[in-house]
Amino acid sequence: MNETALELLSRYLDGDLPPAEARRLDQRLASEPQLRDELEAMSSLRQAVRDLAARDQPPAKLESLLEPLRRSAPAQPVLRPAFRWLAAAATAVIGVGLAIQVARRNPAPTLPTRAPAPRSSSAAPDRGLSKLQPLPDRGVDKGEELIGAADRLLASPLPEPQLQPAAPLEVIGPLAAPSPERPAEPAPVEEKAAPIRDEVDSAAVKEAESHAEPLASAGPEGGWAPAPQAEVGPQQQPPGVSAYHDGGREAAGLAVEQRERAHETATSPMFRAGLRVLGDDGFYRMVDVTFGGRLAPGRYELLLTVADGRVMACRTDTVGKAEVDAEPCAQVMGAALSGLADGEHAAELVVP
Amino acid sequence: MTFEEVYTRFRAPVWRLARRLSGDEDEALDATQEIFIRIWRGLGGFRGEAKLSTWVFQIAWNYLRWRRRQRGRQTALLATPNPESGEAVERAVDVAPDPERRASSAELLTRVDGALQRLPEHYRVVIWLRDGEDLSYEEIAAALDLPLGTVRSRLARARQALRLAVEGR
Repeated sequence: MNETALELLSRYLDGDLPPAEARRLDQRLASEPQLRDELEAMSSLRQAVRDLAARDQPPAKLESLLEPLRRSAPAQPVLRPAFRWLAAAATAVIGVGLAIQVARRNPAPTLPTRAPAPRSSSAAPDRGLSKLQPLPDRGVDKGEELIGAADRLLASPLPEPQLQPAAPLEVIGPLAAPSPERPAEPAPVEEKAAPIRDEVDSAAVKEAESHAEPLASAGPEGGWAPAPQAEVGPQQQPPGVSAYHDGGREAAGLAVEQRERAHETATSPMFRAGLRVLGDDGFYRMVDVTFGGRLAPGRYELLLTVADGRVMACRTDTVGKAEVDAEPCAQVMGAALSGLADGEHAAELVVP
Repeated sequence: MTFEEVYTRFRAPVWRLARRLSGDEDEALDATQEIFIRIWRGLGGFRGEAKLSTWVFQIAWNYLRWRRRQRGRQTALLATPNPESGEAVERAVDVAPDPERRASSAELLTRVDGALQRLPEHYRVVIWLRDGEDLSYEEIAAALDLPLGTVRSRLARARQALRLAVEGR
């Protein structure tokens, strides 16, 4: 039974097929006993799962665990809707004011003038060169969204900070200068340094390996456990990041710098990439993201949901890459993006 | 919408999802408590742009996935019954026709219960939300933040995987 037929049967069972397709499948079911058996088995298992759900009831202990919450009033929103509008308006006014100030202090460079252009009585034809064309709307139709950005933000759990145990320090030699009466033994710096590096490298390799998703035992045709679909392994801590702010136009140069730095570390089990995030102020933030998973080289367009200066949710739009070994989103989840307002931000992850 | 209403309506579904994904009752209790704390915190800011069920299940799914990652692979492996031990797998279960008779069979329920636990998490969650909690494809897509087409294909593959797991293949 191929996957297309399985999906047809599954959707048929749930009443998700358009009437014309359902009629066609009805005809096939009448003439193909194997297809009919498959549908009946699927239906039987669906009923079994329903029965399991009806049978599973939470234990009474749950009531006592949740009783304190039930007695308390629900948390109030940080800003009521009316205040949100006020805050947005205030932000807009301040933003416009700042933009005017910046424009006054940094006038646009003027080109050296040549001979004055001859005045012509006839107006030059308007070729529309200076008109800005509206950008194509690539957004999702809001009417089709079952969950909005604000609610999605609220639904994202705020990970509790994970403190990593400090790496054990090893004393490799005396810190003070040797006293004249007691000549100090030379510190075996070179001999000690190598093992330390080895330890670090092997620890990094183990860390990277521990992040790998467990492999499925067989593919869809060979067994019951098909390979996970581009899901990445557990991310124990937010990716190491160092954010800095640029002036928008410098972003391209900085991206090149990130790319070069990433090349330098290509042999390391950790990978680096440049993340450009578009802020509400129209400036890009460049963030250096380090991650343990492997990403195919390319440019990944992301839509990040930021809360409290961290990436709390992410959607991808891979450009020009048919396959990736791990989802780029997983690599930026939890990354610190200081200075960015809460909400959704377009971003671009460049993996060299 | 008060917290009491949300609690009354979603206490059991959230606990069931937590139990299905964690495979352990104590773990499910702990996770359910944490999920409702997050619902309690967020309810004041819930603006109704999403369906309530979608919002609640998204909180639950995000938290459970995050918790699983925190606990790491080791816990997940411990929580998964070992097929080699014979604990849950008995070979050659006939799940062919006569759905009503089979679905009512306690033996089949036990086998399906064990087989569900052995499915990969991303299969288990779609099958449970669709067949266990009766969410629509659109609601599942929103709760799991997946495209609708992915939900359709993943559910079909998950059902096939469940069948093979029940049959012990």
